[in-house]
Amino acid sequence: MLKQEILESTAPFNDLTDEHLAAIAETAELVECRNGDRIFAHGADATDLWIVVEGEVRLCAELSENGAPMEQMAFMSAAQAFGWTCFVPPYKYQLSGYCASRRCRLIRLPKDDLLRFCEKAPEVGFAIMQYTLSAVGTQFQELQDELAKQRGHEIMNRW
Amino acid sequence: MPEQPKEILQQTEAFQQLTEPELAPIQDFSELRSFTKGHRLFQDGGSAANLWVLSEGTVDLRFELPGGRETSDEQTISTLGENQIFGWSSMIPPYKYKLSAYCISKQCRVLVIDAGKLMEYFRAHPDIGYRVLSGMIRVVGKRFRQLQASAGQAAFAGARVTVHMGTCGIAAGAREVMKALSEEVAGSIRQNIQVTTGGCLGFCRSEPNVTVRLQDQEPVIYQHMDEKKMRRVFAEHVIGGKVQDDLVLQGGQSC
Repeated sequence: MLKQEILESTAPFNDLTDEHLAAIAETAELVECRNGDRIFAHGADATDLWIVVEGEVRLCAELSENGAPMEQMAFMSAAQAFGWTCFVPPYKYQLSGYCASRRCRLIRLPKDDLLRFCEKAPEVGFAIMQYTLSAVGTQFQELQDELAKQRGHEIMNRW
Repeated sequence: MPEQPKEILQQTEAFQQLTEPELAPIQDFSELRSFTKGHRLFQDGGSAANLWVLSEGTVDLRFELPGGRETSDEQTISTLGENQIFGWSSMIPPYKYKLSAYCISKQCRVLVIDAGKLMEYFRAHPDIGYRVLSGMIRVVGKRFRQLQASAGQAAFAGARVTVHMGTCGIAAGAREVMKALSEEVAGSIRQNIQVTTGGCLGFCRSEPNVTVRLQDQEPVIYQHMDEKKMRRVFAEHVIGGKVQDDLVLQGGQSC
């Protein structure tokens, strides 16, 4: 069980009532890791949503579509929520996440418990989904930027 | 073709779960607009005030190059087909478009939704907001996966995919095939994939038919296509270059 104070000081939980905080804190867990530790693995079942309390996370693609190892593509992410593929079929982590700062502290939220709670309290569900969409959008844009950068360099090299 | 904003929204994945009375207020801050080929709908770096739904036509999302040069297909990151939502940046701080959107079909028809008012509506009705945003996460998540997958694949110089949409083809499910193809193309960063529609080939009993023509290769006609087979042909043939022999039209029976 997670301390409510930690939850309360972290977006998207800042404005929740004590009752809601207590319900989420019951199944949430604080996870601490060090630089280089893998937080979740590309291709594994996505069972949890991860919210960063402290530290930085590097995202890394390590498997090709058919599950074979591939040349790694990695980028630092400005997003503060990871593992959102737990809401997207086929519910597998689409990238690996590594702690990229001296240490990371993250809240692990089991997806099934979280969704059950969101159904019961849609105002909390909306706040969590808004925060998650922001993280998904940020990571999507980061991936687009990576591709645009590569493609732009190729085009400009031909000028 | 849907005429009303409500009908357009009903066909998009993110809004599909809403009832008609729940969709109705969104019409008050949505507007239908039309663009012609080459027109820029919004620009990379511009203030992102609207969420967009493509009702008709094809839109390219492209990055711009320094010096204001004219964009080309080479700068395309995603190609979007009908019923797809774009302009996600309007939902995400700092609310700036990260790519430019260009109409690349003869005409594009789009529903433009005021994103600020949409969020206000969601805040007033969080149960609706929860359902729509959950749907949006699934849609963006899917596109993320497609973008990531296509980034690692070998490029073909050019491909043209024709979905044969005569009356017989449509009756057999050609629209669903086209929808699946549009989604695959939208999620791909592959350049020079041209999607076209064609008439009946004369093999009505093998409809829906799809013709794939890769540059410098003979066209291949596929038969009895459905959404799943279309996605497989796109991944394996259009992208991977491998003809799917078991789906190829064999001595088609004419109408």
